Amino acid sequence: MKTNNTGLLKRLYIVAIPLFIVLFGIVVKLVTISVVEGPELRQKSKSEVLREMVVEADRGKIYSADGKLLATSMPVFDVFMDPGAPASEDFEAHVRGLAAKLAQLNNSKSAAGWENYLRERRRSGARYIPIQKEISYSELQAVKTFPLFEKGKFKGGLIYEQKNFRKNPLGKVASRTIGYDRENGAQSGIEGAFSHYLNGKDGKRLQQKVSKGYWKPLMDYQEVAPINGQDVVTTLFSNFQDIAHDQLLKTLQKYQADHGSVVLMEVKTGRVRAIANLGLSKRTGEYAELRNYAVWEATEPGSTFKLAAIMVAIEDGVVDTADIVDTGNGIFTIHGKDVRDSNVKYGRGGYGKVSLAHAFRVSSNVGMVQAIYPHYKNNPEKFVDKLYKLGMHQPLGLRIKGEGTPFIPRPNEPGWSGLSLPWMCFGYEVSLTPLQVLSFYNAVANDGVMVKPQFVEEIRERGRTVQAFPTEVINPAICSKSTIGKLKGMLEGVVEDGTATQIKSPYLKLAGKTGTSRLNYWKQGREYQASFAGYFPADDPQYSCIVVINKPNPDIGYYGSVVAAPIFKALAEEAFKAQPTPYHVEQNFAQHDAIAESLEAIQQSLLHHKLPDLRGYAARDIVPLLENHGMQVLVRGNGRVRSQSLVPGTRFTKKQTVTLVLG
Amino acid sequence: MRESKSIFSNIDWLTVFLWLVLCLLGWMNVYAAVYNEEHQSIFDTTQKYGKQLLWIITAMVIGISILAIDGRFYEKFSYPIFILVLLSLVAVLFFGTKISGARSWFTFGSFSIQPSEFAKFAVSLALAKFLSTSKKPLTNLSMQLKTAFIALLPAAVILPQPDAGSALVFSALIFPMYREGLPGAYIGLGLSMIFLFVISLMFEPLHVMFVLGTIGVITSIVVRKNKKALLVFIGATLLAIGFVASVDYTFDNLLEDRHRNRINILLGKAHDPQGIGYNTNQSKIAVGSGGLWGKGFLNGTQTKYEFVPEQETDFIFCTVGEEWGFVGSMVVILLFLTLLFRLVFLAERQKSTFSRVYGYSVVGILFVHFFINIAMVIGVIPVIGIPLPFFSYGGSALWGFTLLLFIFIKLDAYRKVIL
Repeated sequence: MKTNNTGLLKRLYIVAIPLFIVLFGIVVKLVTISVVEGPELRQKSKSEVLREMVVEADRGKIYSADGKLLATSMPVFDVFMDPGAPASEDFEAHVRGLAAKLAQLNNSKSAAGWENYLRERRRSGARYIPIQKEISYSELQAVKTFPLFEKGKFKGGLIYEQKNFRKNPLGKVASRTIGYDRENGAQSGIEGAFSHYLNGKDGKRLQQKVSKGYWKPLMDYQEVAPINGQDVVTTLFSNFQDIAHDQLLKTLQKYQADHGSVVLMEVKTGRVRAIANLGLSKRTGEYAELRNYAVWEATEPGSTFKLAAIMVAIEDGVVDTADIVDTGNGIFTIHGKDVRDSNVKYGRGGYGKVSLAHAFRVSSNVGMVQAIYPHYKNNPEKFVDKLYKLGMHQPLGLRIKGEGTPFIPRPNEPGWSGLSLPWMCFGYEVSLTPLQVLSFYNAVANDGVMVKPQFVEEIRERGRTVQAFPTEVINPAICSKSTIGKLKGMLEGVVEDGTATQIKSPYLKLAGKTGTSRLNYWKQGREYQASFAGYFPADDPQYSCIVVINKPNPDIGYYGSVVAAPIFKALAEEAFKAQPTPYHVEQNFAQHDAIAESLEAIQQSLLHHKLPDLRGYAARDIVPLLENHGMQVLVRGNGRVRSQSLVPGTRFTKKQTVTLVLG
Repeated sequence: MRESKSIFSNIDWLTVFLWLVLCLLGWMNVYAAVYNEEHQSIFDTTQKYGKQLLWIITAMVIGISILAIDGRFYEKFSYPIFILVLLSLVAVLFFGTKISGARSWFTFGSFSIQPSEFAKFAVSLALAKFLSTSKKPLTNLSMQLKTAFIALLPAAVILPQPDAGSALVFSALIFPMYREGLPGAYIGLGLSMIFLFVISLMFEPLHVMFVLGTIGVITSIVVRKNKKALLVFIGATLLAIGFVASVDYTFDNLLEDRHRNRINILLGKAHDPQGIGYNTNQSKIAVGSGGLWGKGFLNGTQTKYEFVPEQETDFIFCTVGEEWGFVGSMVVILLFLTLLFRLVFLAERQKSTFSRVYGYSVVGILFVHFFINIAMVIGVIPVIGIPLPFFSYGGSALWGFTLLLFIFIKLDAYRKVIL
C-alpha cells in the first residue's frame, strides 16, 4: 500500500513510541538489577556456589590400662530412599526385586509389604523414606547392588547418610563405666567425663560447586583440618575386668540377685583395675550393665562399716582390740529396740564374753554396740565428728558423673535419733556407696593414706602420653599407724578365724570384712545386701576390693561370707597370678596401630575375594569381616587365629566355609 | 535494470556483519555457559560449543546458498514452501520426539530438528506473497481475516506441541500488517487487551470491572451529545468488562498450572524461589551479580554451575549479564537494535510490496524474540521459552533465523530487479 510520507511517518511513530517505552523499561530494569541490586545479588551468587563442609573429627579411642581397646568409633550408615527419583519404567521393572532385597535387609516388612510401602510412598509424593538404620559399611556395599539402587541416587533413589557409631569391642564388659556421650547431650561414665578429650575438633572445608551435584574442595581458601580426639587410657586391666564381670554374673545368677557390683582398686594409686556392675533387666530377664551401682548406689553398708566405727573408738583411746566385751545372749535392748547378733536365730545366742577383735571377727552387732556406745552415748558429736573429719559424709569427687551422696547423721540434725549412734556402730543409719566403702578399706590397706578412686590413667595422642593423671590423696592419714596395725590385724582375723574362713586361700593371705545388711528392714520383706570389702595380699596390700550383691534370693543364700566373699577370693587369686607386666602393656599398645592398618589390608583383600593370612588376628575382629563377605566361618577354641583351613591367597566364593582354629 | 555479476553484489554488508558478530558472540557465550574443564577447547565438537560452531558454519553455507539462488525463487515458491512447512508441523505432532515435555522435534540419529523454527520464514513469505498479490486494502475486513488466517495458521499447529512461546512469536506479524494499512485500532486493541489482562490478574476482577464501569459511565455522560461516540464508549466499556471477566475464567480454567504459576510469581502474588520461580530468580542473580563490568570471561559461576536452567539456550543472556556485566548487556542490546533499525531501513527502501512485507516480518519476528527473551531473563515478563536469535545454542533456531534474515538480504540485493 502506498500512502503519503507524513501519513506513513505518523503510523510508524504510533508503533515506535510504545516500543521505545518498552525498551526503555528493559534498560531501566537491567540497570536496577545489575547496579542497584547488584551487590546483594552478588552476595547471593557467592553463597550459592560456596559451602562450608564440616569435616568431622574422629573421636578418640578408649583403652584399658593393658592396651586393649574398650571403645572405638566406626562408621555406620542410615539408608533412605527417594521413591520419586526413579523413572516409571525403572520403578515398575525393579520394585519387586528391590522389595525382596529390602525384606532381607529389614524384616519388619515382608517383600510384598515393602513393595506396597514403596508404591504407596511414591504415589503420595514422598521424597525421603527410611529403609534401615545403622548398617555397616559392607552391608551398605551390598545395598548398593540392590535392583534399582544400583542406578544410584538420582535414578535409583538410594540415599544414605554416614554416622559414627561407638563400638565397645569387649562387648558389655564395663560398659556402664565406659559410658556414653550421646548427641542429645546425655553423658555417662568415662565417655561423658572425658568427652572434652575424646571429642577432638571438627574441621572446616570450603567447597565450590563445579556442576550439578558436584563440589570440589577450594584450595585457595583457608581450610581448617579436623583435630582428631585424644585417646583415653583407663585404669582398667582387661583380664581383671573379665574375671570381675564373669564372677559377678555367675554369682548374681546363682543367687538370683537383683543386682551387684565389684570394684578392684590398686591400693597405692587408687586406680580402679576392674569395675563390674550388673543388674537384672526387667525387659530382657538377663543381667546387664544397667547402672553404675558401685558409683551411684548409696545404701546402708552394714557390717563392713564396723571397721570405721572401731577405728574412731581406738583412735579416741576409749577401746582397744583386746578389750573384753560381753555379747551376752546376742540380744541387747536399747530404747526398746533389739540389737541382735546373727547367730541368735540359729539358737546359739551370742558369743558370751569375748575380746573386741573376736567380736569383730564374728561380726557381733551386740559386741560392737557394747564396746563403743557407752563411750559416746553422752557425747555422740565426738563420734560423728570424727567420721566427718575423715570426709566420709562427702562424695569422693569422682570425675565420672552420678556419684551417690553418702549420708552420716549428726546430732540435732534431721535424721538423728536415740538409735542413730548404737545403730551406726554396726553399719546402719548411715549410707555409703560401694566405692566410698572401698576407699576407706583401701586407706586402711594403704597405711592410712586415703586416695581418690581413679578411672583414667592418661590421655594419649598418636601413641604419646599428653596428660597423665597422678594419684590424688584425699587424706594423708586417716588415723595413727598403730591403729592401722590393729585394724589390719582384725581384718586378717576375719578370714583366718572369723566369718570369712571359707575364702582362706592357699596362695595368698587375704584380709577383709563381710557385711550382711537388711534392706528396707522397716518393711516385712526379707531383702538383704551381701557384701565383702578387703584387700590382698594381707602382708603387703596391692589391691583392695569390694563386692556388693543386692537382694539375693534369701532361700539360696544371703550372707556376705557366702554370697560376696567368694568373688573377692577368685579375683584376688587371679589378679595375683595374672598381673600384666609393663612389657606386655607396651606391646599391646604398639599393636593397635598395626592392627588398624592390617585390618584395612584384610578388608581390601576380601573385597578382591582373596582370603588373606588371618593368623594372629583376634577372632572377634576377623569373623565379622569374613561373614560380611559371604563366607561361612567355623571357629574352634578361643582368642586368636592359630591356623586356617584355607591357604592364604585362596580365591573364595560366597557361602564357602573356612574353619579357624584359635588358641 | 542490470544483472548482477556476483551473488555477493548489492548485498547489505552491514546486516551480514551484524549477523556474524551476533553469531560469534553467541558462540563465545555458549562456550562460557557450558564450559567444561575436561574439554577446554572451544572447537571440541563433543561439547555444545563445538557443535554450535558447526551450526554457525553450516548457517554460513545456508546463507551463501540463499544468496546464490535467484531472487525470484522466493516469491514464486512462497506458497509451496509454506505448505511444506505446515505439513512438517502437522507431522511433528504425530511422529516427533518429545524433548522436555514438548513434541517439537524430528530426530534423526543424534541429530534433531525443530520445524517450528522454519515456520517463521515460511509464514513471512506466504504473508508477503498474499499481501503483494491481493488487490483489496487491509482496511477491508475479509482481507484482515484472510491475512490473520495465514499468520496464525502455523501458531495454531504449533500450540498443541505444546509450545506456547513459539506460537506467540507469530503475533509479530501484526507489524508488517500494520505497515501495509491495518487500522491502528487493532494495535490499540491488542495493547489494551494486554493491559486489561495484567490489571485483572493483579487486582480483584470485580474491582477492575467496577472501575471500568465507572469510567465508562463518566465518559458516556461527557460525550452524551455525540451519539456515535456514546455508542462506541458504551460498547468499549461493555467489551472491556466482558474481557476482564473472561480473563479471570481463562486464567483459572484454561491456562495450565505452569503458566498460571509463572504469571503469579511475576506479579508477586506467589513467592517460591526454589520452585517454579527458580529460573527467573536464578537468572536475575546471574545478571545482577555481573554488576557494571561483569565477572569476566569464563568467570561466571551462576550460569556455569547449572543454577540457571537452559543456560545455553533460552537463558544465554544470563551469561552475557554475568560475565560482561551491564556494559556487555547493553552492547548486545545495541547490536540487536542496530540490526533492527537497519532492517527497517532496508524494508522501507524496497520497491516491491513482497519484499517490504517480508522485511517487516523479519523485523517483527526478530524484535519479538529479542524483546521477550531478554525481558524474561531479567524478570520483566513471565518465563516464555523462546531463544535469543543468533545467540542461543541450537542448530534449528540458528538455521531458521539465518534463513529468515538471508532471504531478506537476497531480496534487498534484488530490489532493483523485483518490482
